[in-house]
Amino acid sequence: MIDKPSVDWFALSPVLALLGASGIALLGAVLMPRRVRGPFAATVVALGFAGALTAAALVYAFTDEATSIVADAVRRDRFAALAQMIVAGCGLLAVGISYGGRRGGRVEAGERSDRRTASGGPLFGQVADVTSEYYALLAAAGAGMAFLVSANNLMTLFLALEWFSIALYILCAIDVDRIASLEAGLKYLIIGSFGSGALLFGSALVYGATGELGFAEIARVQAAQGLADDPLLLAGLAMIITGLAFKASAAPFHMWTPDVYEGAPTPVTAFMSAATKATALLLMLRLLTTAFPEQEDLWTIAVAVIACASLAIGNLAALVQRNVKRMLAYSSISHAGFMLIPIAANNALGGRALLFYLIPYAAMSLGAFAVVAARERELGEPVTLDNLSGFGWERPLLGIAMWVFMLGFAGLPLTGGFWGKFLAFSAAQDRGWTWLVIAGVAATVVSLYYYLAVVRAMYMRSGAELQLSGTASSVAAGGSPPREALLSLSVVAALIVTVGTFFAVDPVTELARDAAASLPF
Amino acid sequence: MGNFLVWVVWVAAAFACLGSAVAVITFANPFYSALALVGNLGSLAVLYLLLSAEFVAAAQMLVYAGAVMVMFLFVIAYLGGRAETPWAGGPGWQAVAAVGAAGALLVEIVVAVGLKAGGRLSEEADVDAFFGGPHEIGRLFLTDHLLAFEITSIVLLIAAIGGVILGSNARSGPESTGGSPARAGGTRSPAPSISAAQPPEGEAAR
Repeated sequence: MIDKPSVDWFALSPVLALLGASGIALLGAVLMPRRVRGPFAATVVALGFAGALTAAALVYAFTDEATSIVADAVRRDRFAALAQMIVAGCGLLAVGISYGGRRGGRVEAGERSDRRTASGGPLFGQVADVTSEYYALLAAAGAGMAFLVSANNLMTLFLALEWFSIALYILCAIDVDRIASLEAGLKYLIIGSFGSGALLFGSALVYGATGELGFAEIARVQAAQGLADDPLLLAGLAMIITGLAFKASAAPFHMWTPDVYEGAPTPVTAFMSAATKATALLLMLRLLTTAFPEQEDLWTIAVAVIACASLAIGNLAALVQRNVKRMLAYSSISHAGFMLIPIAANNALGGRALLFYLIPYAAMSLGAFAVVAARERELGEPVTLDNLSGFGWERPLLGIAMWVFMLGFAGLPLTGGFWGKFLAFSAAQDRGWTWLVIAGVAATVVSLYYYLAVVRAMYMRSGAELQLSGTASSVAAGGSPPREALLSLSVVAALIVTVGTFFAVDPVTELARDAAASLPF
Repeated sequence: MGNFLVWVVWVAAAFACLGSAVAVITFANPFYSALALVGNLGSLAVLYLLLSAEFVAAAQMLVYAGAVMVMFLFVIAYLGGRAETPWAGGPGWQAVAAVGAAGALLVEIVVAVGLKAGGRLSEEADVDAFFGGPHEIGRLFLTDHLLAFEITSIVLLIAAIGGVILGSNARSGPESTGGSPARAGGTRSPAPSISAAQPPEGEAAR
């Protein structure tokens, strides 16, 4: 008789809620009448994300002591619970952003701007309705991420990474009638597989050196056998960092980011930029602090260098972008740099800073892409700084929201982005790395230029330019812009989180502190 | 003597593995690449056997070299395995840089393994009779790696759903209504606009 490990269903409940929602949404694609499939799937998946959020909050509340569960495969702690809450929140907003473009039936969104090929003919005559599958995959990706942040050994780490990556590859390519979407899916697949390959190879080397898969066990064996300078282990560690940096889209592993973010459906981009980055960075923090404390002097420098490269490349490349999605993609690379700073600091303040930073960042990122999605549906073509002109006057709510998100990205006060950057820089200062703080501040100053360019484009254009902007838009054709209650609601929610984290900095920092306390600093 | 034989088999399998891996990525014809991949998987299975992992070796042959590769070949044959010309115009700087980086990584790992293991590689590890057997692997799946085992099925399920989604969309393309065998090629052609610009007669009439 085999002694099966006991399963802590409560700790797994956020993941199971999302998996369940995904399954029900898929069943709905078969059982429900065609008309209600889209709304049904969206509702089920939204409920799934809400359930995961609640479950994660409960796990957070009822977990005082961090424990390893299910044969030490996953970790039940507040760190994972808070991370799951972030992922579930991102998913909830992503469903709200998606709904306007995906109600089911024939695809109606203006997002399929390049649906027609250059010669004017349709790429495909009829596109199958994959609305239910879209929402199901969104929930599945969220489940993978929720699982990844609680991974406690190299095997669950890799499998969870593949889990959400595969779902995202498909989501990127789901608009098969758009070449850009297919291109995004393919590019993400190939480069993502390369990153996964690096991670897997690195894991194999680490296993070869230590003979252990569990994070804590790896650290224990190293300490016991004096493996701190073991070349095999170091090669493995370098490759693992590479693999995770691919997922977090940190430079120089960022090459896929602009193309994929631009080509993927905008709600998917929003979800990816917020949730994928959050999980990759949080897992990096957990893995490095738990499994490799002995190599601390090496990986902190490596992470700091990656952070500086991301800050430099992300900000400088964002300066010259006209396409707003591409600009936000480069901005997300630079934010990966900002969030790697607290990881490099490797202290308790750093853990707190990363967890805090991620909350307003995820909200701002989702909100900004939501505004882009709204403009895209209105215009039916990719959003550039030029055709964004006058948007702030046409849609006051979205305009003001975008304004706040941009200021938040830049880290100005009255948004949580300010405290995020403040805490991240304090963590680096705590470690005594003033040069990293200076790099971060310099990057912030540069970033103001392109963030304010968006605000300028939205509000400060002459009337003549306004007339020009709407040539392709439904507004110019006499129709009123599509009003989407759910999208506006998502933007408002993102706005509340962005501004709320500025004013409620103490309670949120406390949440982050309790969560970071689960890690061995 | 037995040790010598092991060495011979190991060297042969290792070189076959490396050679076929290089062949997979250099052949211009995807059909040959797939066949080289069979060789790669087969020689890997031999290496697994030498490591006393009999069950994994058998599974490797049955599942990968058998089932998966047959599927690969079916797909290539179905889509019409057109020869690509990856080296047309000579290797670009990216290819050179990639080979350089891969070489550096190879050297790094060889040095790392050499430093780490040194003389220890020639020693035989002591494994018990159950090591690598189906019984032991099954036990691990249900105990230590229970969750990983379950997740694998979820990952495969998601991949299958994705395949259906992307495949079903390609099926509903205009070319398929005409039953033309070229329809799958249309999605892969370098300039889809050319084929899409001229829909079949029936499509245009509608």
